[in-house]
Amino acid sequence: MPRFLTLLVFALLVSACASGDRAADGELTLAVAKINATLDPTEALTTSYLRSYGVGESLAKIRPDGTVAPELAESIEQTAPDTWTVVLRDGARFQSGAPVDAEAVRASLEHSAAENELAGDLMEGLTISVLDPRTLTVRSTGPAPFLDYTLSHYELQIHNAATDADFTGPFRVTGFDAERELRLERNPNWWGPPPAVETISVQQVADPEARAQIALAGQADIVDLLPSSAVPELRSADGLTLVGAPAANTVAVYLNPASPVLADQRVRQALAWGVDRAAVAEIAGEGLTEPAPSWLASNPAYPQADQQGFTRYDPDLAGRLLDEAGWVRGPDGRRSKDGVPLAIRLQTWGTEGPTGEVLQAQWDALGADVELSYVDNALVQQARERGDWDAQTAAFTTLGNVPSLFTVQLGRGGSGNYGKYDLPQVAGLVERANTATDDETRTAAVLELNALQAEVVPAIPVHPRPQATAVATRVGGFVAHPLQYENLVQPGITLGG
Amino acid sequence: MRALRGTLSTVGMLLVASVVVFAMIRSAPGDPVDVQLGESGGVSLSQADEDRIRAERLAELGLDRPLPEQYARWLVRMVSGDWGTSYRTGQPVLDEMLDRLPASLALGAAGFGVAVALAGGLALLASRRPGAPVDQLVRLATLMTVAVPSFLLGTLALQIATGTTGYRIAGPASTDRIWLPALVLGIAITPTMSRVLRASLVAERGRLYAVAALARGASPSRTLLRHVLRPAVGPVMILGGLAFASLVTGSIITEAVFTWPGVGLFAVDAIAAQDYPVVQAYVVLATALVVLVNRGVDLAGRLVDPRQDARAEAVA
Repeated sequence: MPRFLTLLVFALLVSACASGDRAADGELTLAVAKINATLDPTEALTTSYLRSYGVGESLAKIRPDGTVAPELAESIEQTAPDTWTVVLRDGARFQSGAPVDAEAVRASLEHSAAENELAGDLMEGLTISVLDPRTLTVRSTGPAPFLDYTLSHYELQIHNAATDADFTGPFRVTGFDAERELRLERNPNWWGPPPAVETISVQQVADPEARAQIALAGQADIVDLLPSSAVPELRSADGLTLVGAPAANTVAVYLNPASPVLADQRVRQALAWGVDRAAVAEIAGEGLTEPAPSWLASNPAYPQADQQGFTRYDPDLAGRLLDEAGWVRGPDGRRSKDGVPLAIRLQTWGTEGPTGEVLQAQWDALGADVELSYVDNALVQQARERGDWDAQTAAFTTLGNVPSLFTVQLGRGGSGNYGKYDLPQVAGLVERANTATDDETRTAAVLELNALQAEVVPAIPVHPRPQATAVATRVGGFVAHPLQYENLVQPGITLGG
Repeated sequence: MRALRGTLSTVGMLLVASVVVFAMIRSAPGDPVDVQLGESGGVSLSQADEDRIRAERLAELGLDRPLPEQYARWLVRMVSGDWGTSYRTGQPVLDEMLDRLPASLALGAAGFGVAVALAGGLALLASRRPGAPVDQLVRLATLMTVAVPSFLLGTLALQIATGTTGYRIAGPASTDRIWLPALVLGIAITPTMSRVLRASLVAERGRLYAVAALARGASPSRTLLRHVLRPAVGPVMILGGLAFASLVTGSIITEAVFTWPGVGLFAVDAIAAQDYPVVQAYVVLATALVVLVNRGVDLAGRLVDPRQDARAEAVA
């Protein structure tokens, strides 16, 4: 008990002194929904936070336009259909000062693959060979045109496998309080020009309303994942800019073909044509997102995907498709077939609640009865496992190794193929995308996969997930990124006034 | 004998609570591995790979064993001082709890202090003339307050305080941040405490000894302080004890709204991630605290009003 009392008094006294200080002029402050729970680079998701806050780097990184650029690597090039050659930056060092050579990179990747299941999955079938201290090759078991995306993944962040928590990013950790605070300082060993920001304080504020208040009160320079409800107030607030880059993931309504109502492809297409995506984006996304007419439309590397799929709101076509499928309107305006009403159970979770509400209203206008429930993700998964579901919202990342992402969505046994659709064309199109010798053929195959998704409609694409970030006007050089985990802290950020 | 009975009953309560929470958390849909995999949307996994990873991880965490075995293992470790390791932070649960408990205790104590001051003042004011306008006004105010959900009260207080006083929302547990959540917590439990104390004061004031004291010329305030207050406080002490325990372990919403780094906030995150060792430890801790506070209140009640001892002996 005396230990408790001592701790209690000490904690209050010390923190009272500490918290009274305002951030120094050269300190960047962040209030974020979540920080990492550990500094272990092989713990799932830890690296996504470390990358976001400028601590860690991979060999390459995905740029905001969806293309890949070298990061810790000076160059990363496909030198054979199944081989990529990586040349490391000259003089690159870990934050401890240890050199980042090809052996260290190989050790890091192998360490991640051995200790982290997700990294292991990404590295499956890859062989790393060291050619010289700055050069290594990564070879796959087959053609691998998207391997640069794989090597950009946060789970393959380069760390010093010989020690704990030694990374290569522009900022290094000076203080860490799990799920509370992360303190950083400029990394003197970084390969790039020294960042303008000297120190960084990242605080976890889990409550979205509290984050909104922090942004409005100007108590942090960057505040992420703000709630839609606070957007109007934040837009008109002084001293900050609301950045609303749509994420590179598509919020879609996944449909279960085992449900008697949704077995007919025409019904699934009708529901997709009956979505006024612009209205959903405006109402549910507070204007911080945009319509996604096809699943791939949220991927900035494929602007052609905006012209595919459900490019307009067409309730007439939706009505005709439903009529053709035998779901006709009764005198009360509700549709039914052989006495069975057109009724759909729609489950939403997480941030997709408002989207579900707007969809319910829009499908109601088509004559469908939508029973909407907002539930925990665990219940959504449980319903899927039991097969007892009609429609569920989910958002998958669309940026990365795109053929592989389509395999997850449409392929037999794909973990995102919730409705267990069996589409024989998928494997051939994925193969074509992976073996194509030129970009044009590859892109055509990818777009064909996207068109197939729109035709079969295993999921109705609606909009990218909105990402509302408040950035104080004193912060310069902030670049919004469609991937949530990509560099909330960037080396080019400056602090004015 | 009484001490032995008390100890056995405490241990029994802790065991029952641990079994109940163990059964509840394990019957909830999903598991910690589902949560981990569900958050990794950027990685493309086939269903077969996902199933393999899930099985490996469940085995690693010991969650593939029969439930009774899992419970027995946990109980043995818990009793021997090993509260397990958090699935999320990878740190010993006991260390994590001890690290956060001081902040929760401080907030609970401060909130309780606010409640005692407010409830005491309001009850004294209202009980002076039962049924008078002041009494009615206090009654109305307490009814209105009790109707406001604490998250709403907290969010409103936060908005007002940041705008007017520059209250700092995020940060460590500190004296310059504690006052606002303490105020909100205190206000939330004030209505019940003040109503019980008011009723108790009115009842005691009507007793023969109080009337006799007044008849002998004692002033109303002297009668209140010397004779009425002590026995009137008894029922409120029991209520206050339970309120204090719930403030320390149950102020989860307030801790979340004010980003107060206590055990409640830690438990909320643990529930969301199905971090079983943390949730189980939290419930055991909360139960232990409630039992301890109850015992403390019993003891204090006897000190304040020795008639309780006499009554207990008469019953025995």
